[in-house]
Parts: sequence; structure tokens; C-alpha cells
Amino acid sequence: MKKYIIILLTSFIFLFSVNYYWQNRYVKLRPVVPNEVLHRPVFFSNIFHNQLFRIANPNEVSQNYYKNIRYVLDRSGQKYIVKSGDIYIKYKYMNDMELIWNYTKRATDPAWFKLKREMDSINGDAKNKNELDRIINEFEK
Amino acid sequence: MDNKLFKTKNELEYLEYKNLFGNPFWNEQGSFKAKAFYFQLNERDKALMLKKNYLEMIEKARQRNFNMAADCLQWWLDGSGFTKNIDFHWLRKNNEVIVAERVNVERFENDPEFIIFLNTLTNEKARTYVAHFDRIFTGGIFRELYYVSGTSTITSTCYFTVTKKKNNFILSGKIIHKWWDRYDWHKGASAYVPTIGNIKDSDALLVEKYCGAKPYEMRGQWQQNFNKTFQMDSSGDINLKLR
Repeated sequence: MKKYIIILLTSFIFLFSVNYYWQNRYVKLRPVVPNEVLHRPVFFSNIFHNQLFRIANPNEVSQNYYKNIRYVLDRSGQKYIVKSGDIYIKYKYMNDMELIWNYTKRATDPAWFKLKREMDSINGDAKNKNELDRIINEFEK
Repeated sequence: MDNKLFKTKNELEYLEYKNLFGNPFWNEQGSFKAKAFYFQLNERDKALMLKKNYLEMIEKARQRNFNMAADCLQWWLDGSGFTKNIDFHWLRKNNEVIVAERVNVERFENDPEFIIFLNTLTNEKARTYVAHFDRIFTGGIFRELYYVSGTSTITSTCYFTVTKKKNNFILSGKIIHKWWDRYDWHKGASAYVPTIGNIKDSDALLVEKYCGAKPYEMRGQWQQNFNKTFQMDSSGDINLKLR
């Protein structure tokens, strides 16, 4: 009986460790866009929610994504590392494709930056003002 | 109605002419004779026949009490292209909408940006927090939402004012949920309707081309107000529950 408990516990610890490693390893951040739904209905879309999204091709998102994504991640409190100029985030975040789509959208949407500037202005924070102004101006060019 | 068209070509009765799709709401198949007739038509006549059948579909949807689906199809056929406001009470009757709304609210509760914001607060001084999240979702095949909008989005924007009082955070504010979708069709796409089979979007695109139907935006909006008190533990987690 004791032997079985030890095997069970060891298996549990092993599986937990593998899963922990898998979820927390760093993977390259890529832009995400909605997957065009061609065949309706989409089954089990709540359980397999990632099927509604796909990784975008590099030229499929605007250049603003590449210019602004680090500001978006910093401002959104998302942890990441940079290796050879590429951004890496934990797999568990990259696997939440809707979250990454939200980041992609923020980086390419002046409305999000205007919202943040408005918030800073109400709170009297001038720290990010110049950078936000610069990014918003870039959109308007 | 172009009565001559179907009588001369195929001895098709008027009732059959408008029974291309059958009745998806009561599991009734369309007429095979109508389908055979449809396939021999040129593009323009196909579009006219489809329009008649869409009008018939609207009638059947109303009989089934799917009035929102009927209104939206009619709006598209009318071809104004104007934005249609969808009643949020109707939207929130759909479980898929409630689930999507809940997902966005939970994102606010666990938003790392919000935790960073809370750490900047000083005692008794109120500060404003503004953020937004989007959630994409699809309607279930047996529900009216599927016929109104296949895939749609809820954009939720929070406007919170938070004050720190000793170990408590006092939050007041609102989340505005904006539901939106474009009522349009895509080449190469199709929708499966029980008993009917796959209906191609290219059919609807023909009606747009020859009969003046036009895509349009759909919108719905509602808000939730909050007055909450919560705490942050030593590890930096908060016990905020907005539901």
C-alpha cells in the first residue's frame, strides 16, 4: 500500500513539475489576429477558444505593432524578456491568444493610447506624457 | 413578382419558388424542384429568387419568435447600410453574451496593470483607472444569436476611481460593455443550418450585387456600476470580486 502511495505521489509531483515547466517556459511573442470564420457554427468555442484566433504573418499587422508593443507590455504589467531583439513571454500567456490579440490591438490602435493619456491627465501623471504624445502623433502621420 | 419566369421554365408553383430553404426553425427541408430550378438560372434571376426566399425566411423567423434575427435580415435586405442598435436586454438574454461579459470582468479583476496602479496609491487620495478588454465569441447553433450574428465582440471599458484607506481599497465606478459586429458575408464562407445544410455566403453576396442589400454595423451597449471594498495581501494579490 505504502509503495503505491509513493508511486502515486512521485507521479503527481513529476506531472506537476512538467506542467509547471511547460507553462512557464519563455516563447517568442507573435502578433495575433482573429481567425476569419469560414464555416459556421464554431463548435465548443468556449472550451477551445483559441480556434477563433491565429498567429498573424509578419506583414499582416501594421508597423505600429512592432514600434509600440514593448510600451503596451510595460504599461499592461506583462512580464517579458528580450533576446536578440525578439520579445519572449511565458507560454501560459502566449497560449491565451485572446489576451495576445488584445495586446496586438492595443499596439495598433491610437484609441488605447489616448485612453491612457486621458487617465494620466486626470491623475496628474506627467511621466508618460511625452512618450504617449509621440506615439499618438506617429499614428496621425 | 416574376411569375412568368418560373412557370414557363419549369412549371414551378409560386409556393415552391419561395421554398428554396424550407423552414430551418421547424426542421422542414426545402423543395428539390425549387433547387433544380434555381441551379438553371442566370446570376440575376438567382439573386431575385434568393431575395424572395430570404423574405420568406423572415416570415418564418417571426413565426418562430426569432424577431431579432428577422429584423436584422430585413435591415440587410433594405440596404440602407445604417448602423442598427440592438437592444441590450435582448443581447443579455443570450448565455454567450453573459459568459463573454463575465470573462472581460474577470480580466479586470486579475489585470496586472491594475495591481501596478494600486501600488501607486497613497492614503486617502483618489485616483482614476481606465482600461479595456475585448472578447470574441460565437452564437450557439440552436439559438437566435446564431442567426443574428455568427461571431461578435464585446469591448468592455472600465472607469474606476480608487481610494486607499489604511489596508482597504475603496472602488467606485463603472464598466461599459459595447457589443459590436458587422452584418456581412464572406466569399468562400458558409453557415450550417440544421436540416437545410450549408448555406453559402456567396448566395447572399449575389443578393447584394443585384438586389441592393447592403452590409451594416450592429451595436449594443450597457453598463455595470460598482461600489466595492477590497484588500491586497502580502504577496500582492487582491480579493476584488466584481460579480
